Amino acid sequence: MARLYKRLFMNQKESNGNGNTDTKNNYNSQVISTDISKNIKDLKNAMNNSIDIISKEIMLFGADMLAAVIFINNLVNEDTINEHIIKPITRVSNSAANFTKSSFDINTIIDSVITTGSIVVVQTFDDIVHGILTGDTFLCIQGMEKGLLINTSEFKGRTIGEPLLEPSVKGPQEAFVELLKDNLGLIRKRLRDPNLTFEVHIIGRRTKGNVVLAYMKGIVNEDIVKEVRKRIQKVDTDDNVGSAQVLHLLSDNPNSVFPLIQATERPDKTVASLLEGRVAIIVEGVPRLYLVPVTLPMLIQSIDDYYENWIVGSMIRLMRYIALFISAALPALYIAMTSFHPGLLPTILALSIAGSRTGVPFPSVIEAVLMVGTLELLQEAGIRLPRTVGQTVSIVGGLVIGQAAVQAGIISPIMVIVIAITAIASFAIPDYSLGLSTRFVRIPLMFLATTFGAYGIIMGILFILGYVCSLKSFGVRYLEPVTPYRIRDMKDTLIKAPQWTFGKRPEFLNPEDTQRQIIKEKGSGSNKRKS
Amino acid sequence: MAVIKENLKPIQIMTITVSTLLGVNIFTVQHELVVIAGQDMWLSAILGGLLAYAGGLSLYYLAKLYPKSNLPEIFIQLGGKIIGRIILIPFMVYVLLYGGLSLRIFTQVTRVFLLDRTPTYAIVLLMCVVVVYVVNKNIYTISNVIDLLFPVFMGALVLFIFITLRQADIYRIEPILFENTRGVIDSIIPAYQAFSGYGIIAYILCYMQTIKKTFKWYTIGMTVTTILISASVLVTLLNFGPDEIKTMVYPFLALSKTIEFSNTLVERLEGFMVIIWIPVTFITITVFTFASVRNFVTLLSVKPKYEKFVVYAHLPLLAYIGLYSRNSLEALKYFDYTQVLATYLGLIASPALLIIALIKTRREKHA
Repeated sequence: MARLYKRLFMNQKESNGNGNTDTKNNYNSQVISTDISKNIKDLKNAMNNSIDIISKEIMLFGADMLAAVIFINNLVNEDTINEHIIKPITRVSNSAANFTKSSFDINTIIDSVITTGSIVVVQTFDDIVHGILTGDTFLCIQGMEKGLLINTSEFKGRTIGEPLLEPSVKGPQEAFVELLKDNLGLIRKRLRDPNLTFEVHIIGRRTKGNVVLAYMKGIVNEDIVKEVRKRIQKVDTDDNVGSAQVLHLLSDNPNSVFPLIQATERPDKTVASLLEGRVAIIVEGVPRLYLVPVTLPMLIQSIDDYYENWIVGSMIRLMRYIALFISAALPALYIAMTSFHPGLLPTILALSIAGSRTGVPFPSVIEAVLMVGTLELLQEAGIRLPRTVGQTVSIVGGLVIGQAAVQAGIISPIMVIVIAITAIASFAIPDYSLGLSTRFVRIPLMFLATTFGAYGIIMGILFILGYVCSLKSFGVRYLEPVTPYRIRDMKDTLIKAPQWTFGKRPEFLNPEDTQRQIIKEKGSGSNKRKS
Repeated sequence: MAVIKENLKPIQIMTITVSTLLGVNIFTVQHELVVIAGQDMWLSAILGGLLAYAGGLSLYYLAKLYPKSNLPEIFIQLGGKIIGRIILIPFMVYVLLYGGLSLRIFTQVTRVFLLDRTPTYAIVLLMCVVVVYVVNKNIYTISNVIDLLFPVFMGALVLFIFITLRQADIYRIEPILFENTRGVIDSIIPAYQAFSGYGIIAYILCYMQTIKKTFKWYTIGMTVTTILISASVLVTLLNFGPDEIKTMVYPFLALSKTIEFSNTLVERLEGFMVIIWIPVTFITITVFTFASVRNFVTLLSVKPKYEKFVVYAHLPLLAYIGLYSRNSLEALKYFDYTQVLATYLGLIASPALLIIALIKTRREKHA
């Protein structure tokens, strides 16, 4: 047994060691040749002669010299190639007034011929292949040992639309899209600060997708940036980063039921987070980005809290905390009260519940499990189906089946009310992942309520509290700043205090620049900078 | 990665102290005191709190002399490997028994007021599992859980005390100190025993961010606890009077039965009081289990990577102690014995150890 374990373990270790297998092909270190035909052939071979790789040969100096451009036709703007590469290079070489064949070198082409912005001199096939795959055009010229990668990329993407998962009543109606440059632009146009830093990393041994770290230099705690950078650099997978599953590899606790990375599709929320001292991880091809570190109170905040008066905003936020509790515990409370502690309820209510359950063939726990199961199915079906059909399913499921079940005497009306309130409460949670967490937590709480009544629920909640209190997101405790008590930071947790109280950035993020806003003293007209 | 270094903040001394001390004592103290001090038992509670504070100070200063060590480690540093362990054993026994017996008394209260048909072992085991799970995390997790629960039960307790004042009769505590000075003095020790757990400061001081403000917060914690326990004694007395309290096992909980809000969502209060009281007892047992784990780890010189096994071992240990007593009266009897041990340890052993530590430190300085 021990030997078998050892063998398995050793195998695993070996595979881990080899897991970081080099997927780079043997062309990696190869440098380009002075022979154009060979270069074209080798490059096409390196990319397995894929049909979308286009090469065009260009005659220069009256066919004395040969040049070629190589690109992938769906990734580039062909007009750019024609207007800014092919036409200038043929015009200049054929006019021959200013250039001779001998003076026509790489530097001359960069300085005087090519009219596009981004040009990189390359020599190895690894760089060339990567450039072509990201939408660059490779230009090589007969007799030259170096070539040029010219940015001609044009990815067709959808236009910037409204946020689907995080709608806002009064806030901006722009959401991130799949294109990286559009997402960077959406942030940059709101945050015109030179300290806004975008740092590109490439993840995916095969997909070579871009992952950008965005942060505010001078505000963010450098330790957080270093940690995020370290974790991103550790990721070694050939999976598509667009699936965002790779982000789970960055998490402090990949098995956590609660989200330890906050996803958002709102640029305004992102900017606010960056200004607090958080880091944004932008993954190419994903229409949302990821904010770290995250705490539970951050997930309860909604952008609309900040567009409303602080009293109204605070009230709505408090409602969300109540919704969080209801979403997780209401069915369990119903089971506990009806099965174990009807005496705790007011007499009239207890009698009313007992009356409504007359004729129902199941104990309340079976009733609750049936209804919660149906609710989960309906929610899942509503998401998977096309939007218009999804709405129909919700109506049919919620109203028709509910009504029919009550009339058939399978479910009591009070149970339908309990489940309806639970569902509505779960919709009030602004973060989708947190909503899913409460749906997960609901089930064990129901079973504890079935076995131990209210005592079981309390112990379940204590267990969850112990679990949540032990969680960390990039070194920051998940329940900061509620615990340990940080009175100064609490003004944006349970409630949203008036804007003039937001003088400092959150202490728990340990920002380098703690001052968020300068508070004007009333009447004096002078600015007061809190030290 | 530590963006923010993990340590306890001084204010957490207060929340941990109050939460640990309240525990099950608040259920039982009234019955114990009324037999000796009669209508003056509220004075005994105040004096008992002051005595506990004095005992707490000796442990606080002892821990302050060794800011990087917890109590069992201090014993080893004071007495060496063998004598230190011998000193540790009675403390270890007390801490473990107190945790286990608190669990049993709590179970009894839960059965009476909430789960009359659920077997004792099931209630005990569920509590043990959750306690061991939280203790297995670390002291920071425990303190964070306490921080979250503290405002909830404090608010509930203060509200409850104020509600019961509606039906209070001031004449029930009169005549004050009338030919009863001896009774009050005699009941100081039983009242002091109701503040068991004040020694937790010696286990957690080494995790503090700074020692600077800990004294202030510890004093606040002890003051708040003294006020709350004395208030609970006083309102029970004002509502029932001394003779009626003598007939009750858990007078403070019985008090909640007297309150009724007709036609509201909370018509009867006793069940809700127990529900709110579950987290308080949970905290007490968790903190005592944490202290017990530290004791065992030091006694057996367990390496950090194996500490989790000591934590797991507490599950059967706690469950066994919790289930050992055949009934609640037997559990209360054992609980009283444990409290006697606590008195010797708190009022004799701890000050003596402080004096030895002071002499040793002074000698080391001179050397």
